Amino acid sequence: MTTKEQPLPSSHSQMSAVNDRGEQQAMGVASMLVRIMVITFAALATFILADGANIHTVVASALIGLFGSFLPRIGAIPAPILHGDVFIGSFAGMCSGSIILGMNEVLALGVMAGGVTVIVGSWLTGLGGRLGSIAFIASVVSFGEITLW
Amino acid sequence: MVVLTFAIPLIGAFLTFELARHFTTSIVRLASVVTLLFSGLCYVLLDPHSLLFEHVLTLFYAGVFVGMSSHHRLGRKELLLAGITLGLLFSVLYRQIDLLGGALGFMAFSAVLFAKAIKLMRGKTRARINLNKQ
Repeated sequence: MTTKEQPLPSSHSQMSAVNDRGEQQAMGVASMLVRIMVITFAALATFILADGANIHTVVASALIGLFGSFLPRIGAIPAPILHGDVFIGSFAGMCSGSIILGMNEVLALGVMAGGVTVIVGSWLTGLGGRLGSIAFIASVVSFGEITLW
Repeated sequence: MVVLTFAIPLIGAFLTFELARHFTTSIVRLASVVTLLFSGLCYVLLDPHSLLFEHVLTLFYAGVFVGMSSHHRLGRKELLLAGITLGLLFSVLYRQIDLLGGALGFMAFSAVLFAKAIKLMRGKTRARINLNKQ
């Protein structure tokens, strides 16, 4: 009985390994999308607070960062990474209302910041200002043409 | 005003850096709380419509970013150098890029990288001097 059942666990483990890999890949894409969504939402919320509710941009960003720091783990994404993502979004949302003409531009900026965050990954982690620099790169790519050149 | 440009980022950086040593909470939460408390203080002490208020609050937030550095990556001396560099960068660069989001973080990151580079260069110079002595 046991000798007959022996191949089952190995084939099962092979299948589960394939499934795990597939799940990891799917989780990777899903995680990326969730992170981009979190960043976009944080950027939008900060911009609405700063531009709509007329709160100082620094206070708006800190408020969103504070609320975001209570986010729990989502799927495979650990909570500290999500907190950092919220902060990136809040920095991106600190763009001046004079260069952002509508909500669709804030959404585009958030998606851009999310993309840059995913590309940069964990490079230079632990150095202050890294998250803000990611938001700055996204802002320059999105609005640099208007403001810098 | 010049003294404030250099002192405020240093206060923000050291406050965040030292608090992060003592509290094991999320660094994002710590930075946010420190900034919100300082902004509350600014609202009480300064006129919210004045240029000084804007200047002080923005500089402090930039300093907080510098203070968010990991203790393993940055020491107190480098933090001091990064804070001073940030004040310098702020006075030179901020008006050019203040419309863009993440400008403060970019300046803080540049200041931290500069401090880190100076530390590396000093280390290499010392190693070369020691080699020459031997």
